Amino acid sequence: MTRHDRDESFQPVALLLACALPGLGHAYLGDVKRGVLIFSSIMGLFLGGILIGGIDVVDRTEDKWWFILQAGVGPTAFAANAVHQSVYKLEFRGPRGPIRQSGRPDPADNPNNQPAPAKKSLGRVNEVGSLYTAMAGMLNLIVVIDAAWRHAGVRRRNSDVAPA
Amino acid sequence: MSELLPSFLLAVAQASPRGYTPFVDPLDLHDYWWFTIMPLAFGISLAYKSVRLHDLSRVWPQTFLMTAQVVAGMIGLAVAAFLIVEVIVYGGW
Repeated sequence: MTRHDRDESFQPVALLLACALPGLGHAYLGDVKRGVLIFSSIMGLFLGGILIGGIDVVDRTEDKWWFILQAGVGPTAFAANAVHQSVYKLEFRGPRGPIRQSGRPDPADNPNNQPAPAKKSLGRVNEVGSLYTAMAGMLNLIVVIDAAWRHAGVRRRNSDVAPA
Repeated sequence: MSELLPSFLLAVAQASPRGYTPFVDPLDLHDYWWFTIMPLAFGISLAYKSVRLHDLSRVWPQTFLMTAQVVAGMIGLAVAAFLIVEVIVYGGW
């Protein structure tokens, strides 16, 4: 067993904070620079994916498996999905019953030709946007595990400094 | 207040049903999608190295190195797949 292994301890508060916002767990443990770098990279990937593919890449109802991966980012992913579902999907009440979807629906479901509030993300752009956001979610799972079982040395080092 | 925000966002969304709205509509990158590999590799490398490195003073050189390795690896895989399909399987291009 190395000295590094002995220092490892479970950090439940850091785990919860890392789940709430990428990098916050590390910042809580006293490693603020690392927390800022993690926040920048993961939120950059997540927002970059939405910038490339549009809000349509975060969709719990139509892209369930992608969303399971994206959910690793935490409340940000759930908020993006909630905004997408409630604001950027119109409910069309056509002859085939009510449907909610982004982009322009089949004319049979949209006899009044209602304008869609957001363009449908298709093809490579949708794939790349989904990949960016899913990678952000999976990377944050690594970050959460690292914050939860990080060796307590960083925090202890800050509190154990003896006055000169 | 809770109903005010969705109403505001819906108004913004409907104000430009045909125009481009950042973070709402997709970018028109269909012909340049391969360019997005580099920022993706950079973001993954930065997140990984931020967690992995004990000494963060080397984070930027290590991130750029890993980004180059990932992009070079993907180019290598593309070249290998091309050679296997076009040369080995179909006997020349």
